[in-house]
Amino acid sequence: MKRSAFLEHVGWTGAGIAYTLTASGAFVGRGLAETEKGALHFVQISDSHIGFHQAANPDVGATLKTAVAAINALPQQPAFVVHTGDVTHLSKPEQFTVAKDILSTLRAPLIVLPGEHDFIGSDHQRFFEVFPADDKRSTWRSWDHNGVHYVVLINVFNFEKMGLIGNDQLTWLEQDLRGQKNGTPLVVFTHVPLYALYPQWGWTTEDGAKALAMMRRFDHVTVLNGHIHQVVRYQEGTISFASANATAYPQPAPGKAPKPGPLTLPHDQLLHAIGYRNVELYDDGRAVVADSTLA
Amino acid sequence: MKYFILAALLMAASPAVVHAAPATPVVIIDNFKYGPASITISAGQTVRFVNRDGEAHTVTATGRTFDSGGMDTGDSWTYRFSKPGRYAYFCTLHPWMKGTIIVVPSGGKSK
Repeated sequence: MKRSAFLEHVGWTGAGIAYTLTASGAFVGRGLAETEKGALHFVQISDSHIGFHQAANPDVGATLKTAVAAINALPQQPAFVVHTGDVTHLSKPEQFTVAKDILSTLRAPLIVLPGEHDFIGSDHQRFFEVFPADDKRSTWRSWDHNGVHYVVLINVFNFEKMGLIGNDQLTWLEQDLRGQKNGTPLVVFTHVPLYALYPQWGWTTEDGAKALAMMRRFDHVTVLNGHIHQVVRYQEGTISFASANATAYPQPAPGKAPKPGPLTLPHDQLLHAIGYRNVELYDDGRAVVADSTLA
Repeated sequence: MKYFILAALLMAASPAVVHAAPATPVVIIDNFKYGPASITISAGQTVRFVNRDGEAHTVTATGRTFDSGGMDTGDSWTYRFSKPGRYAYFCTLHPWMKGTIIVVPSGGKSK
């Protein structure tokens, strides 16, 4: 992320329009061309809501394309791009088709998590037909790459309680983490925030504390999520949380509006409130998270 | 669903049935709420749900015996409740939104 873009972002935040950006966590405004040797780099995007057509963003397809183009133009291609959910607005077949068409133009490999907007209807099949996981019955998964342990947790399976990880997934997580050393950097992807970010608006995971309890022994944990359409960062012990911007439209900061939902900004400010995120992981376990807007 | 469509067609084709049915009860979805949150209707009546909120919502039965699917701003969805009972429903996108349809036997009075 360019330093100027970061300052612009802070300035906009300072105006108190939509973002809460916590003071914790070092925000390093370094160009990606300067990426340190040995760093692993990936990109997070989220909440594209393909099919949404209200005033908050009349053309969510265009802004997703802009984000994809910006990522494809990065001086170094990321190891992968992870989409942390709500690819579509209403889980309609044509919305999945458009989303997949746009996302398939990414140069880097793509990992997609479902959000609750991708699971509307009688089952989860439509999402998994378009974005197949290795095992359709257990879409939560983990993998190791370059000494980092990555975990995908799906906390939108239970329609009546959101977010919820559920006992099956928690049991799996316990077994999955058991073999990992404390010094292994952990990177966790979810859609809904794992901690109680703002429960009044459903921005929490009911059994998230159980998952976090399993992660506390690790020296470096980075939890990246979407769902709330804004950058919010939070630190709890060795666990760093970072909620990402949407590519579609922003939502109000917690408690700054009577309800959540699409936030309509003056036309020239939308691109300042949506974007993508670069994440760099270093050999010593540090994770540097840098958000870029589409402005 | 097929059964429901057939029933609706039969109703439309039969003036006697249409005449007997009172005006369609409406539930308005706005500001992350179903209004009214609880209504009482007669068996066989159709309820119309209208989303007037700026956010998408669903009308989904607890146990999923009926499900509107995603309702965008301005969308409406109707469902015919053929059997007496108490039908709890919620929004799968915002599960704290809850509503109830109480269906009394069609011989009884609605509202």
